[in-house]
Amino acid sequence: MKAIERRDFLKLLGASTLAGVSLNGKSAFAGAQPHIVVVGGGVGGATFSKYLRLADEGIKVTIIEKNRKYLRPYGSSEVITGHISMDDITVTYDALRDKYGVNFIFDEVVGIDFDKQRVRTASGSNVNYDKLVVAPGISFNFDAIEGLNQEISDIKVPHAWIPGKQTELLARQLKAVPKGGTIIIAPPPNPYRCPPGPYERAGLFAQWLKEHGNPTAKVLILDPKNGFTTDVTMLQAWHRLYNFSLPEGAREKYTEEQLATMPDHPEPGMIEWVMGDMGGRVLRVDPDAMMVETEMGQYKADMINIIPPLKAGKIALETGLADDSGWCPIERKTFESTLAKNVHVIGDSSIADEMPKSGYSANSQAKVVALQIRALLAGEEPGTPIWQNTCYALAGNTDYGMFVADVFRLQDGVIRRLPNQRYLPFDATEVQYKLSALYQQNWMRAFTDDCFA
Amino acid sequence: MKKTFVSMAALGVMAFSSATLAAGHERTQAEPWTPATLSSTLQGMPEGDIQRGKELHNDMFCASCHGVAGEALTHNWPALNGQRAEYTYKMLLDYQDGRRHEDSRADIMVKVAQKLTKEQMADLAMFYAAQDLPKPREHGLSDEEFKRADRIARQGDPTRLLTPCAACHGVKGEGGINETPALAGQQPDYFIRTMSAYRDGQRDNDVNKGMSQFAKHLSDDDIRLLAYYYGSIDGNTKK
Repeated sequence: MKAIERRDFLKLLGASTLAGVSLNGKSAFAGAQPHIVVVGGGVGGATFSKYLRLADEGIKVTIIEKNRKYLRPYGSSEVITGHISMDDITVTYDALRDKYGVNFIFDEVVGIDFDKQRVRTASGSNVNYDKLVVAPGISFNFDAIEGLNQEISDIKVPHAWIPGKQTELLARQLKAVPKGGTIIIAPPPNPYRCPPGPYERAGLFAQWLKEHGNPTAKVLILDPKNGFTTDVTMLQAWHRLYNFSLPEGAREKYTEEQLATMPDHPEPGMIEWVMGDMGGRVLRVDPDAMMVETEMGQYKADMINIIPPLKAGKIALETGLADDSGWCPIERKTFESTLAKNVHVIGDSSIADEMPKSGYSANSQAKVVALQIRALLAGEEPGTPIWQNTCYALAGNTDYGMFVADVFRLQDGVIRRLPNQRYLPFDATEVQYKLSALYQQNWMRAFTDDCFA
Repeated sequence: MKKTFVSMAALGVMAFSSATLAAGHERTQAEPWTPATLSSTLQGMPEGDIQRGKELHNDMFCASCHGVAGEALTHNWPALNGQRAEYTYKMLLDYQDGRRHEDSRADIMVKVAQKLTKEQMADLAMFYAAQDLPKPREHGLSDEEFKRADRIARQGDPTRLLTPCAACHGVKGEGGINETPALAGQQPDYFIRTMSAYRDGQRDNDVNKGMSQFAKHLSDDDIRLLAYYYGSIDGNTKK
């Protein structure tokens, strides 16, 4: 086995350079083939498996996943507005299986024996592992909001934060919003998957309503927070596109000079943002009365999209991989759980400090961990990782895109974001917004291929 | 600050993989070049400004794929640094008019070029021309292969009516006159794609089949050898 050299390792961490690295795939493990089991075939689990097999095809990799097909969550809000279809976000595991030789067990993991290094599935099989990668995504803390539970969210107040039937329900509800009606979006508190996502939805909904003869309808955002990733660009876009007026508390995000370009609109706009400091946190929902109660008041709506507070994926919680925060503590360099040996937690479920919970983050972490696990198995010292993340979002129409782009390094034992400019500038040109939207659409395809094809 | 921003923005679009850029590209419309129309177009090329070109390179996110100074970060996209200004200008025009649209990889450039004015194209062209040519890379060819490539490049092959590449592209692949591009230090994979596209007819924005008439005589292996050969040539010594 030609060891992966350090510079190749660093190259491999950059998504763009990945294809340029020739990993010879020869194995250091001809004798006793190690078995890596991956719980969850989402972005993290899929990317990890693909890249570990690319790095060393002598390592056996098995993904245990409930569903035979994957619905990608990133970009799935565009299904709600009909810009794309469910088919467009459906991904198969064929390439992982046929091209990269990843094994699949379509089953649900119900238990992990950390001492015996064994995973138990719902159908009763036991699968032994040398290393376990747990990438179960997210689950929902319905208890945080009175009146909300799994069933209510399935039939009346969908979150659609994991795509599926709830996405389709939300799409039907959007079409049924009456003239001048109200949509409530309640984003979750930090930390949560896809930081710009709830706000992108607000713009997408407003745009859809505008284009479908309902410009007097409203999108009301009831928020426990006072800010969000891409907020400076997003609020500016809403001001331009949907007659949005800045709430008082948001003015501090801008300079006086910038504020002068965003005067309040005389009429109420299509989007209204009730920030955390304004009492935006949702306490209770009454699905029959279609009423939402926040710290400050009660709101009636025709459609309610509450994204409850999030926590680590169910299996991580059930097996004790999460701490009191509801997320999984890890040793940052290798993402090995601090609570269980030979178990690595990647993606949304992990506590990755300043890295957001996003598909891109999971993909970046997965590539790092693939190489770290390969090194650990070969008795080598794990490398020093660099991670990156990009989130794209649309302001509403498909000509107005934006992004946040970050690089992360290990500093004093935690993952820190490097202090570079992350957003489009305030005075970005029309072309830059258009290109950002164009890049977003291309990214959806290219990123999906990087993980699954 | 601008510079940092670009390197950040670069990350945003890094994940582009050519194969996945939108399918279904349309070919258009614009009349093929004649020597006369191209000549007058190049004569009418606005006077570009390097500094403005640098700013555009940043603002249009060119760096995302082509690198901070056009040096091509990956094998997915061509290096632009040190390229002849006339070539870059003509390519941008060709993308804009749909004369160049060899495969779905070109979609993004077609869309980007449609947002540029001629003045801006000239600015960008000047910015790239002001950079050094790409650094030579390891060719990884055997001695015998290298000699074969060198022979085609510098002596041609009379049995196949192949003029030496150097006749137009320069002895060191540093580029010739007008729009004849530099080849030295170019990404081999891009070279291979380009020559195959000329040979197989997907790319036909050359004037009077200036490139394709030679490309059609080249085998896959010839193209591969030439790609790594030119990738390993240092064109800067000649500048």
